[in-house]
Amino acid sequence: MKADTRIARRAPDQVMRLGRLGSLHQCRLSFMRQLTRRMAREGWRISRPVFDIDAKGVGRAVYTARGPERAYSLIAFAHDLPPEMRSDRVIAEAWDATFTLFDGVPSAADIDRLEQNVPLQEAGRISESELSLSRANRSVRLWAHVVEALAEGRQPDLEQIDSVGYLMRTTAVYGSGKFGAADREVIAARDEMQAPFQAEMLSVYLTRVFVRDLMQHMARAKGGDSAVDLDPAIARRLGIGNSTGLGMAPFIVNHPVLFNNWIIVREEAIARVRSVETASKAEVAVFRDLVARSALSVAQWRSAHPIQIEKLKDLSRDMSALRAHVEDADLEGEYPWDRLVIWAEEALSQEGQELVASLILEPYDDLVDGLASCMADGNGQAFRIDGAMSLDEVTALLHAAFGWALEVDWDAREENARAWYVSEEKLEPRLAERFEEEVADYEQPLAPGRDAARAFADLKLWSGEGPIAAFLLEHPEHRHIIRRIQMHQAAPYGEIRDNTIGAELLPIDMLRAKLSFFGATHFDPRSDRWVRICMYAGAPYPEELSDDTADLWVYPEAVS
Amino acid sequence: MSLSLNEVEGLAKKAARGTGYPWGLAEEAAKASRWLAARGVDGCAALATLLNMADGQDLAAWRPVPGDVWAPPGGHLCPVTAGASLADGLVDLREKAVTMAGVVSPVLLLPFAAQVAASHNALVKVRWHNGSAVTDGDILSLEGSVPEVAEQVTLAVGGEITVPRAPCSRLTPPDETKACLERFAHRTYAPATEESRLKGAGAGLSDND
Repeated sequence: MKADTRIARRAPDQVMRLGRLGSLHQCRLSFMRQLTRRMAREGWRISRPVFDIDAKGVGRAVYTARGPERAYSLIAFAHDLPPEMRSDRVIAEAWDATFTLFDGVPSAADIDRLEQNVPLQEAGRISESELSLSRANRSVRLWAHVVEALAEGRQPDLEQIDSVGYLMRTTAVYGSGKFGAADREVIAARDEMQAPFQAEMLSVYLTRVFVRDLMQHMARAKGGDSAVDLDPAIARRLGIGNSTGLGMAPFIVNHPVLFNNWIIVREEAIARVRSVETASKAEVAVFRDLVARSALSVAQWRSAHPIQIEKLKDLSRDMSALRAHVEDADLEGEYPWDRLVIWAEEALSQEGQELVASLILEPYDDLVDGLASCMADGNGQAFRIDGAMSLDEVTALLHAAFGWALEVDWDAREENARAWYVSEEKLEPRLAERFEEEVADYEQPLAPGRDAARAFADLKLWSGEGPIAAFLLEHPEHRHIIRRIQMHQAAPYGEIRDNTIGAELLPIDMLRAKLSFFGATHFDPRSDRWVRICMYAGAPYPEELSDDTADLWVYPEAVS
Repeated sequence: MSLSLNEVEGLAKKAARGTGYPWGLAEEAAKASRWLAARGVDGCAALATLLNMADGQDLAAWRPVPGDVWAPPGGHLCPVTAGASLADGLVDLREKAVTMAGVVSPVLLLPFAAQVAASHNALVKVRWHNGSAVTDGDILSLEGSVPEVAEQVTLAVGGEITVPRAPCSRLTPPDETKACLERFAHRTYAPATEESRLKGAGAGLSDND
C-alpha cells in the first residue's frame, strides 16, 4: 500500500482508543457494500430452487447465488418455535430459522444431511462443503404486525417498521472452520471471497431475502385471497437484525493483523481523501447529498441504553452542526476535506468525527475502493517470532506499541478489575469481576497492555544487544506478548491502546469497532456487553440489484 | 469426526494451555499441530502423546539447556519449547547441527524445523533412531516410524525430499485422541454459575421482543 499523500494517516495513539473505536461508522469499504457492489458489477444471478414451507411456516428453502465462476447456496430451515424458547443468547437451543451457506448447489442428499445438523447449530456438525452456520429469531412485535396487516389486505405501519427495522435478527453467524465448516484457506484465494467475511455477508444477504419471502408466505397462508404483497419500498427499509454478545469482543484482540488491516486501510483512505487538493462540483454534491441522507439515518437510530442515548444526543447535535457547516463551508477551496476533518475534531463529538471521516470517502471510489483488497490477513508470517531481534529493539517496539500501558498502575484494583474467561457451559467468552469471582485461573490472554507491562518489568533486567530468543527460553510466559510486540512492525494499528480489563471497560466498544466494518448501522446496546444492530436495511433485493442500487443503499432517501 | 484445521488449532491451543503451557507456547503447539495436520500427519495424536506425558510435570525441567547436546534437566525434552527456541534462532543450524536428547513426541519438532528451513531457504533434515524427515519449510517428507520418545534427535541443514506428503485440509483423529485433548482443553473453562450466566454475558434488556 503506497501512501501517496500529503496528509499523513492519523496516528494509532489517536485512532486505537476504545472510545473512538466504539464510535466508528460504516463506510464504502465495509464488507456488506463490497459484496453488493461486486454482485451487481459481475451480474450475479440469484434463484430460489426450493421453497417447501407449510402454512405453519415449517420447512426448507434454498437460495442460490451464481457469480461468474462459482455458486453459493443458502439452505434455510424454518421452524415453529414456542415463544418461551425464543432467546438471542448463545445458551438458546432452538430458533425460528436456521441456516448454512453451502459451497455450490446442494443435492437433495446434502439438504437431508444438513437438516439433521443445522437446526441443532452448535450441537450439530457441518462439513467442508459448508461455509457458514447461522440462526435467526423473529422480532415478535414486528413479525406479528406485518403478517397480520398483509393478511388483512393492508400495508404495515411505517412507524412500526422503522422503530424495529427488521423482521428477524441473526444471533450468531459462524464461519471459518467452526463446527466442521470449511476453513478460511479453502476459499481465501477466490476473488469473490478474498475480502473478509464475504461468505458470512452473503449468507446474511440471502437470509434477508428468505425472511421477506417467509413472511409473505405466512401472510398469504393466513389471509388467503384477501392478503396483499408487501410494498417493495417498505420491504427495502427492512434489514436483518443481529444480536451480538461478548463472544465477538475478543475477536479484534485475537486477530491483531487482520484488525490492523481494516483500520489502516480506512485510515489510508481518509488520508488520501484529505490530501485531495480540490473537489469537483460533482464530488461536493455527492457529499452534501449523503450528509443529508445520513441525517435521516441518524434520526431513525433508536436505542434504549443510557450510554447510547447520550451518544445519539451528541450525534444528533453533531449532525445539525455538520449540516449547517457544510451549507456554508467553502468546499471548493484548497484541501476541503482536510479542512473539514480538522473542523470536525474541534466541533464534533467522536461519533460525529468518525461519521465525517467515513462520509468524506464516499465521492472517491477511485481513491478508496482499490484499498479493499488489502483488508484480508494474508500474512501468516507475522506469527513468527524474530528471535534474533535484540532485547533493545524489542524494548523500543514495546514502547511504540504499548507505551501507554507503562503509565498504568496494573496493581490498582480498578485497572485490573475484570478478567476474560471462557465458560464451561457454552464455551463462550465472558467477563468476570476479578475480585468477586474465582476465575483468575481461567483468564484468557485478552489484556495485552498488562502483559506488555509485565514483560517490560522483566526485560529491563536483561536489556542489551543480546537476542530475544534467550529471554524467551527463560521467560516462556512472555512469549505471547513478545509476539504481539513484534507484530507491531507489520501491524501498527493492531492493538487497542486502552485497558481491556479495567473497571471502566465497555465491551460494546469492541463489538462496535468490528461490526462497523461489516457495515452495520443503528447500534443499539442492550447492556454494556451485547448490542443489536441492523444489516442491509435499504439494500436492494436480488431483483432490484444493479450498479445504480448496489452501493449507496445504506443511506436512506427521504420518503416523497 | 472430520475436523477443520481451525478446529485442530483451537483444540490444540486449549489442550496445551490446559496442561499448564503458557499462552505463547500453547500457540506454538497449536500451530505445530495444524502444520502437521495440513500435511496428513496426525498433529492431534502427536500433541496428545506430549501432553499425556507432560501433564502434572514441572515444564521448566523439560526446557532445553543448549549445549553440545540439548538436554533437559528433567530427562524429557519438550519438543514445543525446544522447537520454538530452534525456530527463534537460538543457534544457527547452518553453522552446526543440533542434537537433542530425550525428545518427547519428536514429530512435533518438524513444524519448527520447517520454520528454520524457510528462514534459511534451505532443506532441514531431522533424524531419530528409526525414522527421519526432510522439509523445505512447506513440503514435508517423512520416513520410518515415530516413537513416543526419541533418545536422540539430530537436526541439520541438508537432506532430500523423497516422498512429499500430499496437502490435507482436514484431520480425522482417533476418537480417543480427540477425547484426550478435549479433557485437557476442558480445564481452561470456568465452571458456570448462575451469576456468570446472567452477569458475565451481560443479559441486560429483554432478548425476546
